[in-house]
Amino acid sequence: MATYTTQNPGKVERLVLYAPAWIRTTPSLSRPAGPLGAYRTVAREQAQSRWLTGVPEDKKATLIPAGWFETWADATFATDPVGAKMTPPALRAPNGVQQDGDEFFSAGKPYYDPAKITVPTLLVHAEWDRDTPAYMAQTLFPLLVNAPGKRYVQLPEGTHTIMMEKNRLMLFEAVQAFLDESGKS
Amino acid sequence: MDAYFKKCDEKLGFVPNVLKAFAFDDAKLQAFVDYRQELVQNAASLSKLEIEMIATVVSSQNRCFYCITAHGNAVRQLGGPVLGEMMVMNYRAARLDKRQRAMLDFAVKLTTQPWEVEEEDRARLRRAGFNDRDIWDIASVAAFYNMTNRLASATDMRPNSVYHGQASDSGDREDKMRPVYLLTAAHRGRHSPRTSAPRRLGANPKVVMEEMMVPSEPGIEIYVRNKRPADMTAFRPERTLLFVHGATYPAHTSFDLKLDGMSWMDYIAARGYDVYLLDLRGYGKSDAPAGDGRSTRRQCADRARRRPPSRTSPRSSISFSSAAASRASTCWAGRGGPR
Repeated sequence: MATYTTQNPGKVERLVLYAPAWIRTTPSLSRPAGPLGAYRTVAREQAQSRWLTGVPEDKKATLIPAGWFETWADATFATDPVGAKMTPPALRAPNGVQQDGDEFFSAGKPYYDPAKITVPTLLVHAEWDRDTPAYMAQTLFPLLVNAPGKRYVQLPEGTHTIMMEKNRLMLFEAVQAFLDESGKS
Repeated sequence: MDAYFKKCDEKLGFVPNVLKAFAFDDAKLQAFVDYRQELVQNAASLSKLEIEMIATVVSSQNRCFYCITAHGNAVRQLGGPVLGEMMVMNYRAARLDKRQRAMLDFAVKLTTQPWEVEEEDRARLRRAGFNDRDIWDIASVAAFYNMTNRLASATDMRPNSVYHGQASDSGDREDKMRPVYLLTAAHRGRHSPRTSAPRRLGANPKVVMEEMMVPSEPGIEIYVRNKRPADMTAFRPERTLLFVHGATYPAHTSFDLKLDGMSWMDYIAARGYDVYLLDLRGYGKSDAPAGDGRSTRRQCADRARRRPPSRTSPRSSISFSSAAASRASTCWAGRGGPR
Protein backbone atom coordinates (compact mmCIF):
# COMPACT_ATOMS: atom_id res chain seq x y z
CA MET A 1 0.00 0.00 0.00
CA ALA A 2 2.86 2.36 0.63
CA THR A 3 4.10 2.06 -2.94
CA TYR A 4 0.57 2.21 -4.29
CA THR A 5 0.06 5.41 -2.31
CA THR A 6 3.16 7.00 -3.82
CA GLN A 7 1.86 6.14 -7.28
CA ASN A 8 -1.80 7.05 -6.74
CA PRO A 9 -1.89 9.91 -4.29
CA GLY A 10 -5.39 10.86 -5.44
CA LYS A 11 -6.85 7.50 -4.55
CA VAL A 12 -5.73 7.14 -0.97
CA GLU A 13 -6.85 9.46 1.80
CA ARG A 14 -4.84 8.06 4.64
CA LEU A 15 -2.49 5.22 5.11
CA VAL A 16 -1.97 2.85 8.01
CA LEU A 17 1.14 0.72 7.90
CA TYR A 18 0.84 -1.96 10.54
CA ALA A 19 4.24 -3.56 11.19
CA PRO A 20 5.83 -1.86 8.20
CA ALA A 21 8.79 -3.36 6.39
CA TRP A 22 11.76 -1.23 5.43
CA ILE A 23 15.47 -1.70 4.73
CA ARG A 24 16.46 -4.91 6.50
CA THR A 25 19.66 -5.21 8.49
CA THR A 26 18.78 -8.44 10.29
CA PRO A 27 17.89 -11.82 8.77
CA SER A 28 14.32 -12.39 7.65
CA LEU A 29 12.33 -14.93 9.65
CA SER A 30 10.27 -15.94 6.65
CA ARG A 31 13.01 -16.26 4.01
CA PRO A 32 13.69 -19.94 3.27
CA ALA A 33 17.32 -20.89 2.73
CA GLY A 34 18.60 -21.42 -0.80
CA PRO A 35 17.18 -20.58 -4.19
CA LEU A 36 13.54 -19.59 -4.33
CA GLY A 37 10.88 -21.73 -5.96
CA ALA A 38 7.42 -20.46 -6.70
CA TYR A 39 6.24 -21.23 -3.17
CA ARG A 40 7.62 -21.83 0.26
CA THR A 41 5.84 -24.08 2.69
CA VAL A 42 5.02 -23.29 6.28
CA ALA A 43 4.07 -25.96 8.79
CA ARG A 44 1.78 -25.25 11.69
CA GLU A 45 4.44 -25.59 14.37
CA GLN A 46 6.76 -23.39 12.36
CA ALA A 47 4.07 -20.73 12.15
CA GLN A 48 3.65 -20.86 15.90
CA SER A 49 7.34 -20.60 16.70
CA ARG A 50 7.78 -17.72 14.26
CA TRP A 51 4.83 -15.97 15.84
CA LEU A 52 6.33 -16.23 19.33
CA THR A 53 9.88 -15.26 18.37
CA GLY A 54 10.98 -12.33 20.49
CA VAL A 55 8.46 -12.89 23.26
CA PRO A 56 10.02 -13.21 26.72
CA GLU A 57 9.75 -16.79 27.98
CA ASP A 58 7.58 -15.91 30.94
CA LYS A 59 5.10 -14.09 28.71
CA LYS A 60 4.68 -16.71 26.01
CA ALA A 61 1.96 -18.66 27.74
CA THR A 62 -0.43 -15.77 28.13
CA LEU A 63 0.23 -13.74 24.98
CA ILE A 64 -2.34 -15.51 22.81
CA PRO A 65 -5.67 -16.19 24.57
CA ALA A 66 -6.60 -19.87 24.74
CA GLY A 67 -7.82 -21.28 21.47
CA TRP A 68 -6.99 -18.26 19.32
CA PHE A 69 -3.90 -19.71 17.69
CA GLU A 70 -5.81 -22.89 16.83
CA THR A 71 -8.72 -20.91 15.42
CA TRP A 72 -6.34 -18.92 13.23
CA ALA A 73 -4.26 -21.91 12.15
CA ASP A 74 -7.32 -24.05 11.33
CA ALA A 75 -8.80 -21.30 9.17
CA THR A 76 -5.52 -20.37 7.52
CA PHE A 77 -4.21 -23.84 6.74
CA ALA A 78 -7.62 -24.82 5.40
CA THR A 79 -7.14 -22.32 2.57
CA ASP A 80 -4.53 -24.56 0.94
CA PRO A 81 -5.97 -27.98 0.11
CA VAL A 82 -2.82 -28.94 -1.80
CA GLY A 83 -0.58 -28.10 1.13
CA ALA A 84 -2.91 -30.02 3.45
CA LYS A 85 -2.01 -33.25 1.64
CA MET A 86 1.71 -32.76 2.19
CA THR A 87 3.54 -34.48 5.01
CA PRO A 88 3.57 -32.74 7.36
CA PRO A 89 0.58 -30.63 6.31
CA ALA A 90 1.70 -27.21 5.19
CA LEU A 91 0.55 -23.89 3.85
CA ARG A 92 2.13 -22.78 0.61
CA ALA A 93 2.94 -19.09 0.36
CA PRO A 94 4.05 -17.38 -2.86
CA ASN A 95 7.71 -16.39 -2.95
CA GLY A 96 7.33 -13.24 -4.98
CA VAL A 97 7.64 -11.25 -1.79
CA GLN A 98 10.83 -13.08 -0.91
CA GLN A 99 12.31 -12.35 -4.30
CA ASP A 100 11.44 -8.70 -3.90
CA GLY A 101 12.90 -8.79 -0.40
CA ASP A 102 16.15 -10.16 -1.77
CA GLU A 103 16.32 -7.49 -4.43
CA PHE A 104 15.27 -4.54 -2.31
CA PHE A 105 14.95 -4.34 1.46
CA SER A 106 17.49 -7.09 2.16
CA ALA A 107 19.82 -5.57 -0.45
CA GLY A 108 19.70 -2.23 1.30
CA LYS A 109 17.47 -0.69 -1.36
CA PRO A 110 14.19 1.08 -0.74
CA TYR A 111 11.24 -0.27 -2.69
CA TYR A 112 9.52 3.11 -2.78
CA ASP A 113 10.29 6.71 -1.92
CA PRO A 114 8.64 7.60 1.41
CA ALA A 115 8.86 11.29 0.51
CA LYS A 116 6.23 10.64 -2.15
CA ILE A 117 3.63 9.71 0.43
CA THR A 118 1.59 12.88 0.82
CA VAL A 119 -1.33 11.66 2.93
CA PRO A 120 -1.61 11.32 6.71
CA THR A 121 0.19 8.12 7.61
CA LEU A 122 0.21 5.99 10.74
CA LEU A 123 2.98 3.53 11.50
CA VAL A 124 1.91 1.10 14.19
CA HIS A 125 4.10 -1.59 15.62
CA ALA A 126 4.40 -3.86 18.65
CA GLU A 127 7.51 -4.14 20.72
CA TRP A 128 8.23 -7.86 20.38
CA ASP A 129 7.82 -7.98 16.59
CA ARG A 130 10.87 -9.78 15.18
CA ASP A 131 9.50 -10.19 11.65
CA THR A 132 9.66 -6.49 11.00
CA PRO A 133 11.68 -5.21 13.97
CA ALA A 134 11.10 -1.76 15.40
CA TYR A 135 14.15 -0.31 13.66
CA MET A 136 12.29 -0.55 10.37
CA ALA A 137 9.42 1.70 11.41
CA GLN A 138 11.83 3.97 13.24
CA THR A 139 13.99 4.40 10.14
CA LEU A 140 10.99 4.89 7.93
CA PHE A 141 9.24 7.46 10.09
CA PRO A 142 11.63 10.41 9.58
CA LEU A 143 11.66 9.70 5.84
CA LEU A 144 7.94 10.45 5.62
CA VAL A 145 8.73 14.10 5.11
CA ASN A 146 5.57 14.92 3.19
CA ALA A 147 2.99 12.97 5.16
CA PRO A 148 0.97 15.54 7.09
CA GLY A 149 0.01 14.56 10.62
CA LYS A 150 2.13 11.44 10.47
CA ARG A 151 2.13 9.26 13.57
CA TYR A 152 4.21 6.45 14.99
CA VAL A 153 2.63 4.26 17.65
CA GLN A 154 4.63 1.60 19.46
CA LEU A 155 2.43 -0.86 21.35
CA PRO A 156 3.52 -2.88 24.38
CA GLU A 157 3.51 -6.64 24.81
CA GLY A 158 2.75 -7.74 21.31
CA THR A 159 4.35 -9.25 18.21
CA HIS A 160 4.03 -8.96 14.47
CA THR A 161 0.63 -10.59 14.95
CA ILE A 162 -0.66 -8.42 17.78
CA MET A 163 -3.95 -8.19 15.88
CA MET A 164 -4.73 -11.69 17.15
CA GLU A 165 -3.25 -11.42 20.63
CA LYS A 166 -4.52 -10.33 24.03
CA ASN A 167 -3.57 -6.71 23.37
CA ARG A 168 -5.31 -6.47 20.01
CA LEU A 169 -7.74 -3.84 21.26
CA MET A 170 -4.83 -1.46 21.78
CA LEU A 171 -4.06 -1.84 18.10
CA PHE A 172 -7.69 -1.47 17.07
CA GLU A 173 -8.10 1.65 19.17
CA ALA A 174 -4.91 3.30 17.94
CA VAL A 175 -5.84 2.68 14.30
CA GLN A 176 -9.47 3.67 14.83
CA ALA A 177 -8.50 6.97 16.42
CA PHE A 178 -6.30 7.73 13.44
CA LEU A 179 -8.98 6.77 10.91
CA ASP A 180 -11.65 8.74 12.71
CA GLU A 181 -9.60 11.91 12.42
CA SER A 182 -10.54 11.95 8.77
CA GLY A 183 -13.62 13.97 8.10
CA LYS A 184 -13.47 15.72 11.45
CA SER A 185 -11.45 18.68 10.25
CA MET B 1 -34.87 10.30 -0.36
CA ASP B 2 -32.53 8.28 1.81
CA ALA B 3 -34.98 5.42 1.59
CA TYR B 4 -34.92 5.61 -2.20
CA PHE B 5 -31.14 5.52 -2.26
CA LYS B 6 -31.27 2.55 0.03
CA LYS B 7 -33.67 0.81 -2.30
CA CYS B 8 -31.33 1.49 -5.24
CA ASP B 9 -28.50 0.06 -3.27
CA GLU B 10 -30.49 -3.05 -2.41
CA LYS B 11 -31.77 -3.66 -5.93
CA LEU B 12 -28.77 -2.59 -7.95
CA GLY B 13 -25.92 -2.75 -5.48
CA PHE B 14 -25.17 0.91 -6.04
CA VAL B 15 -26.77 4.31 -6.34
CA PRO B 16 -26.57 5.67 -9.89
CA ASN B 17 -24.44 8.77 -9.98
CA VAL B 18 -27.16 10.75 -11.75
CA LEU B 19 -29.29 10.45 -8.63
CA LYS B 20 -26.42 11.48 -6.40
CA ALA B 21 -25.85 14.47 -8.65
CA PHE B 22 -29.42 15.58 -8.03
CA ALA B 23 -29.26 14.95 -4.34
CA PHE B 24 -28.37 18.49 -3.38
CA ASP B 25 -31.98 19.37 -4.02
CA ASP B 26 -34.42 16.89 -2.58
CA ALA B 27 -37.46 18.35 -4.30
CA LYS B 28 -35.90 18.23 -7.75
CA LEU B 29 -34.53 14.77 -7.18
CA GLN B 30 -37.97 13.57 -6.15
CA ALA B 31 -39.59 15.14 -9.20
CA PHE B 32 -36.93 13.66 -11.47
CA VAL B 33 -37.33 10.19 -10.02
CA ASP B 34 -41.12 10.39 -10.12
CA TYR B 35 -41.27 11.57 -13.70
CA ARG B 36 -38.87 8.91 -14.90
CA GLN B 37 -40.86 6.30 -13.03
CA GLU B 38 -44.05 7.56 -14.62
CA LEU B 39 -42.53 7.41 -18.09
CA VAL B 40 -41.23 3.90 -17.66
CA GLN B 41 -44.08 2.33 -15.75
CA ASN B 42 -47.02 3.92 -17.45
CA ALA B 43 -46.09 3.93 -21.08
CA ALA B 44 -49.17 2.40 -22.70
CA SER B 45 -47.53 0.21 -25.28
CA LEU B 46 -43.78 0.63 -25.01
CA SER B 47 -41.83 -2.14 -23.34
CA LYS B 48 -39.03 -1.47 -20.89
CA LEU B 49 -36.58 -2.61 -23.54
CA GLU B 50 -38.04 -0.20 -26.10
CA ILE B 51 -37.77 2.66 -23.64
CA GLU B 52 -34.14 1.79 -23.04
CA MET B 53 -33.58 1.55 -26.79
CA ILE B 54 -34.92 5.07 -27.23
CA ALA B 55 -32.80 6.32 -24.31
CA THR B 56 -29.66 4.75 -25.79
CA VAL B 57 -30.22 5.91 -29.34
CA VAL B 58 -31.03 9.47 -28.23
CA SER B 59 -27.95 9.47 -25.99
CA SER B 60 -25.86 8.17 -28.85
CA GLN B 61 -26.97 11.08 -31.05
CA ASN B 62 -26.02 13.46 -28.25
CA ARG B 63 -22.76 11.61 -27.55
CA CYS B 64 -23.54 11.62 -23.87
CA PHE B 65 -20.95 9.37 -22.29
CA TYR B 66 -22.85 8.80 -19.06
CA CYS B 67 -26.18 7.98 -20.67
CA ILE B 68 -24.80 5.82 -23.47
CA THR B 69 -22.93 3.80 -20.88
CA ALA B 70 -25.84 3.40 -18.50
CA HIS B 71 -28.64 2.85 -21.02
CA GLY B 72 -26.51 0.84 -23.43
CA ASN B 73 -25.89 -1.42 -20.49
CA ALA B 74 -29.62 -1.67 -19.82
CA VAL B 75 -30.28 -2.69 -23.44
CA ARG B 76 -27.54 -5.30 -23.24
CA GLN B 77 -29.21 -6.73 -20.19
CA LEU B 78 -32.75 -6.67 -21.48
CA GLY B 79 -32.17 -7.43 -25.14
CA GLY B 80 -28.77 -9.05 -25.37
CA PRO B 81 -25.25 -7.82 -25.99
CA VAL B 82 -25.47 -7.41 -29.76
CA LEU B 83 -28.59 -5.29 -29.66
CA GLY B 84 -26.95 -3.19 -26.95
CA GLU B 85 -23.88 -2.52 -29.08
CA MET B 86 -25.98 -1.63 -32.11
CA MET B 87 -28.10 0.82 -30.16
CA VAL B 88 -24.93 2.49 -28.92
CA MET B 89 -23.09 2.60 -32.22
CA ASN B 90 -25.67 2.77 -34.97
CA TYR B 91 -29.21 1.56 -34.50
CA ARG B 92 -29.64 1.35 -38.27
CA ALA B 93 -27.42 -1.73 -38.20
CA ALA B 94 -30.03 -3.63 -36.20
CA ARG B 95 -32.61 -5.71 -38.00
CA LEU B 96 -35.57 -4.17 -36.30
CA ASP B 97 -39.20 -4.64 -37.17
CA LYS B 98 -41.03 -1.79 -38.85
CA ARG B 99 -42.54 -0.63 -35.59
CA GLN B 100 -39.32 -0.28 -33.63
CA ARG B 101 -37.47 1.21 -36.57
CA ALA B 102 -40.14 3.90 -36.96
CA MET B 103 -40.03 4.56 -33.22
CA LEU B 104 -36.26 5.08 -33.21
CA ASP B 105 -36.24 7.13 -36.43
CA PHE B 106 -38.77 9.44 -34.84
CA ALA B 107 -36.79 9.74 -31.61
CA VAL B 108 -33.61 10.52 -33.56
CA LYS B 109 -35.23 13.16 -35.71
CA LEU B 110 -36.76 14.74 -32.64
CA THR B 111 -33.26 14.86 -31.17
CA THR B 112 -31.24 16.09 -34.11
CA GLN B 113 -33.74 18.10 -36.15
CA PRO B 114 -36.75 18.73 -33.95
CA TRP B 115 -37.87 21.66 -36.07
CA GLU B 116 -38.34 19.36 -39.05
CA VAL B 117 -40.78 17.02 -37.37
CA GLU B 118 -44.04 17.19 -39.28
CA GLU B 119 -47.31 15.41 -39.73
CA GLU B 120 -45.69 12.96 -42.10
CA ASP B 121 -43.44 11.74 -39.27
CA ARG B 122 -46.40 11.18 -36.99
CA ALA B 123 -48.25 9.50 -39.83
CA ARG B 124 -45.41 7.05 -40.26
CA LEU B 125 -45.68 6.09 -36.59
CA ARG B 126 -49.40 5.54 -36.97
CA ARG B 127 -48.81 3.33 -40.01
CA ALA B 128 -46.40 1.33 -37.89
CA GLY B 129 -49.17 0.67 -35.37
CA PHE B 130 -48.79 3.45 -32.80
CA ASN B 131 -51.68 5.59 -31.65
CA ASP B 132 -51.49 9.19 -30.56
CA ARG B 133 -50.95 8.26 -26.93
CA ASP B 134 -47.96 6.14 -27.98
CA ILE B 135 -46.57 9.02 -30.01
CA TRP B 136 -46.81 11.19 -26.93
CA ASP B 137 -44.94 8.53 -24.93
CA ILE B 138 -42.18 8.12 -27.51
CA ALA B 139 -41.73 11.86 -27.67
CA SER B 140 -41.74 12.14 -23.88
CA VAL B 141 -39.08 9.48 -23.47
CA ALA B 142 -36.93 11.00 -26.20
CA ALA B 143 -37.35 14.47 -24.72
CA PHE B 144 -36.61 13.30 -21.19
CA TYR B 145 -33.33 11.71 -22.21
CA ASN B 146 -32.41 14.73 -24.28
CA MET B 147 -32.70 16.64 -21.04
CA THR B 148 -30.59 14.21 -19.02
CA ASN B 149 -27.99 14.06 -21.81
CA ARG B 150 -27.57 17.78 -21.61
CA LEU B 151 -27.42 17.83 -17.83
CA ALA B 152 -24.82 15.09 -17.83
CA SER B 153 -22.71 16.78 -20.47
CA ALA B 154 -23.04 20.13 -18.75
CA THR B 155 -21.77 18.78 -15.44
CA ASP B 156 -19.28 16.13 -16.58
CA MET B 157 -21.38 13.46 -14.93
CA ARG B 158 -19.60 10.11 -14.91
CA PRO B 159 -21.24 6.71 -14.98
CA ASN B 160 -20.75 4.36 -12.07
CA SER B 161 -17.89 2.15 -13.16
CA VAL B 162 -19.93 -0.94 -12.48
CA TYR B 163 -21.91 -0.27 -15.65
CA HIS B 164 -18.85 -0.94 -17.73
CA GLY B 165 -18.44 -4.46 -16.48
CA GLN B 166 -22.11 -5.20 -16.25
CA ALA B 167 -23.62 -7.83 -18.52
CA SER B 168 -21.17 -6.99 -21.22
CA ASP B 169 -20.86 -10.53 -22.42
CA SER B 170 -24.08 -12.07 -21.40
CA GLY B 171 -27.75 -11.53 -21.76
CA ASP B 172 -28.37 -13.67 -18.73
CA ARG B 173 -31.57 -12.27 -17.37
CA GLU B 174 -31.35 -14.22 -14.21
CA ASP B 175 -28.37 -12.12 -13.24
CA LYS B 176 -30.15 -8.91 -13.88
CA MET B 177 -31.11 -7.80 -10.47
CA ARG B 178 -28.08 -8.97 -8.61
CA PRO B 179 -25.86 -6.35 -7.13
CA VAL B 180 -24.00 -5.31 -10.19
CA TYR B 181 -20.51 -5.61 -8.91
CA LEU B 182 -21.19 -9.23 -8.23
CA LEU B 183 -22.13 -9.74 -11.85
CA THR B 184 -18.54 -9.77 -12.89
CA ALA B 185 -18.05 -12.87 -10.83
CA ALA B 186 -19.94 -15.34 -12.95
CA HIS B 187 -20.34 -18.94 -11.92
CA ARG B 188 -16.97 -20.21 -12.92
CA GLY B 189 -14.06 -21.83 -11.22
CA ARG B 190 -13.44 -23.62 -8.02
CA HIS B 191 -14.99 -21.53 -5.34
CA SER B 192 -18.52 -22.04 -4.37
CA PRO B 193 -20.46 -19.96 -3.96
CA ARG B 194 -18.77 -17.49 -6.22
CA THR B 195 -20.80 -14.67 -4.90
CA SER B 196 -23.01 -14.09 -1.98
CA ALA B 197 -25.92 -11.84 -1.39
CA PRO B 198 -25.38 -9.44 1.47
CA ARG B 199 -26.09 -11.27 4.65
CA ARG B 200 -26.53 -10.18 8.16
CA LEU B 201 -24.14 -11.61 10.64
CA GLY B 202 -25.21 -13.35 13.79
CA ALA B 203 -22.75 -11.69 16.09
CA ASN B 204 -23.41 -8.21 14.90
CA PRO B 205 -26.78 -7.81 13.21
CA LYS B 206 -25.88 -4.31 12.19
CA VAL B 207 -23.04 -5.38 9.88
CA VAL B 208 -23.55 -7.11 6.53
CA MET B 209 -21.02 -9.09 4.55
CA GLU B 210 -20.55 -9.66 0.83
CA GLU B 211 -18.02 -11.81 -0.92
CA MET B 212 -17.03 -11.65 -4.56
CA MET B 213 -14.60 -13.15 -7.01
CA VAL B 214 -13.23 -10.37 -9.17
CA PRO B 215 -11.66 -11.31 -12.51
CA SER B 216 -8.07 -10.23 -12.97
CA GLU B 217 -5.91 -11.69 -15.70
CA PRO B 218 -7.34 -14.66 -17.62
CA GLY B 219 -7.60 -17.59 -15.25
CA ILE B 220 -7.12 -15.48 -12.14
CA GLU B 221 -9.93 -14.32 -9.94
CA ILE B 222 -9.34 -12.38 -6.79
CA TYR B 223 -11.31 -12.94 -3.62
CA VAL B 224 -12.71 -9.75 -2.13
CA ARG B 225 -14.79 -9.46 1.02
CA ASN B 226 -16.78 -6.46 2.15
CA LYS B 227 -18.33 -5.68 5.51
CA ARG B 228 -20.28 -2.56 6.23
CA PRO B 229 -23.11 -1.29 8.40
CA ALA B 230 -26.41 -2.74 7.18
CA ASP B 231 -28.00 0.67 7.01
CA MET B 232 -25.13 2.36 5.16
CA THR B 233 -26.35 4.42 2.22
CA ALA B 234 -23.71 7.09 1.79
CA PHE B 235 -20.26 5.90 0.78
CA ARG B 236 -17.57 8.44 1.42
CA PRO B 237 -13.84 8.18 0.83
CA GLU B 238 -13.01 8.87 4.46
CA ARG B 239 -15.22 6.00 5.56
CA THR B 240 -13.96 3.46 3.03
CA LEU B 241 -11.15 1.19 4.00
CA LEU B 242 -9.12 -1.60 2.45
CA PHE B 243 -7.08 -4.23 4.28
CA VAL B 244 -4.04 -5.59 2.44
CA HIS B 245 -2.24 -8.58 3.90
CA GLY B 246 1.42 -9.42 4.39
CA ALA B 247 3.91 -11.86 2.93
CA THR B 248 2.74 -15.24 4.12
CA TYR B 249 -0.90 -15.47 5.17
CA PRO B 250 -4.13 -14.47 3.45
CA ALA B 251 -6.28 -11.57 4.60
CA HIS B 252 -9.61 -13.18 5.33
CA THR B 253 -8.30 -15.56 8.01
CA SER B 254 -6.67 -12.80 10.01
CA PHE B 255 -8.30 -9.39 9.52
CA ASP B 256 -11.69 -11.06 9.54
CA LEU B 257 -11.04 -13.93 11.94
CA LYS B 258 -13.65 -13.97 14.64
CA LEU B 259 -12.02 -14.18 18.04
CA ASP B 260 -14.37 -13.89 20.98
CA GLY B 261 -17.04 -13.24 18.37
CA MET B 262 -15.40 -10.26 16.72
CA SER B 263 -12.80 -9.60 14.04
CA TRP B 264 -10.87 -6.40 13.37
CA MET B 265 -12.95 -6.01 10.23
CA ASP B 266 -16.14 -6.27 12.31
CA TYR B 267 -14.77 -3.73 14.76
CA ILE B 268 -14.14 -1.13 12.07
CA ALA B 269 -17.32 -1.80 10.08
CA ALA B 270 -19.43 -1.44 13.22
CA ARG B 271 -17.94 2.03 13.61
CA GLY B 272 -19.46 3.21 10.36
CA TYR B 273 -16.92 2.12 7.76
CA ASP B 274 -17.26 0.35 4.42
CA VAL B 275 -14.44 -2.16 4.81
CA TYR B 276 -12.85 -4.41 2.22
CA LEU B 277 -10.18 -7.03 2.26
CA LEU B 278 -8.67 -9.11 -0.49
CA ASP B 279 -6.50 -12.18 -0.75
CA LEU B 280 -3.75 -11.47 -3.26
CA ARG B 281 -3.26 -13.99 -6.04
CA GLY B 282 -1.75 -17.20 -4.78
CA TYR B 283 -3.11 -16.59 -1.29
CA GLY B 284 -6.28 -17.72 0.47
CA LYS B 285 -9.36 -17.94 -1.70
CA SER B 286 -7.87 -16.20 -4.72
CA ASP B 287 -6.62 -18.12 -7.70
CA ALA B 288 -2.97 -18.93 -7.93
CA PRO B 289 -0.97 -18.07 -11.01
CA ALA B 290 -0.24 -21.07 -13.17
CA GLY B 291 3.32 -22.27 -13.04
CA ASP B 292 5.83 -20.07 -11.40
CA GLY B 293 4.22 -17.56 -9.11
CA ARG B 294 7.38 -15.81 -8.25
CA SER B 295 7.21 -12.19 -8.95
CA THR B 296 4.68 -10.47 -6.81
CA ARG B 297 4.94 -7.62 -9.19
CA ARG B 298 2.57 -9.64 -11.26
CA GLN B 299 0.13 -9.35 -8.42
CA CYS B 300 0.02 -5.69 -9.12
CA ALA B 301 -1.82 -6.55 -12.28
CA ASP B 302 -4.71 -7.54 -10.05
CA ARG B 303 -5.02 -3.98 -8.99
CA ALA B 304 -4.95 -2.63 -12.48
CA ARG B 305 -7.40 -5.05 -13.98
CA ARG B 306 -10.16 -5.45 -11.58
CA ARG B 307 -12.86 -2.97 -11.17
CA PRO B 308 -14.69 -4.04 -8.09
CA PRO B 309 -17.39 -2.39 -6.07
CA SER B 310 -16.81 1.18 -6.80
CA ARG B 311 -18.69 3.21 -4.34
CA THR B 312 -16.10 5.77 -3.67
CA SER B 313 -12.64 6.09 -4.91
CA PRO B 314 -10.14 7.42 -2.45
CA ARG B 315 -10.03 5.64 0.83
CA SER B 316 -7.97 4.69 3.76
CA SER B 317 -6.06 1.51 3.88
CA ILE B 318 -4.42 -0.65 6.43
CA SER B 319 -1.49 -2.52 5.14
CA PHE B 320 -0.05 -5.34 7.18
CA SER B 321 3.41 -5.67 5.94
CA SER B 322 5.56 -8.41 7.05
CA ALA B 323 8.93 -8.68 5.44
CA ALA B 324 8.72 -7.49 1.88
CA ALA B 325 5.02 -7.27 2.00
CA SER B 326 4.62 -3.59 1.98
CA ARG B 327 5.28 -4.46 -1.58
CA ALA B 328 2.57 -7.03 -1.70
CA SER B 329 0.40 -4.35 -0.37
CA THR B 330 1.31 -2.04 -3.16
CA CYS B 331 -0.72 -4.36 -5.25
CA TRP B 332 -4.38 -3.93 -5.40
CA ALA B 333 -5.76 -1.00 -3.66
CA GLY B 334 -7.15 1.08 -6.35
CA ARG B 335 -10.82 0.92 -6.54
CA GLY B 336 -10.72 3.36 -9.32
CA GLY B 337 -13.74 4.84 -10.82
CA PRO B 338 -16.03 7.69 -10.16
CA ARG B 339 -17.37 8.59 -6.80
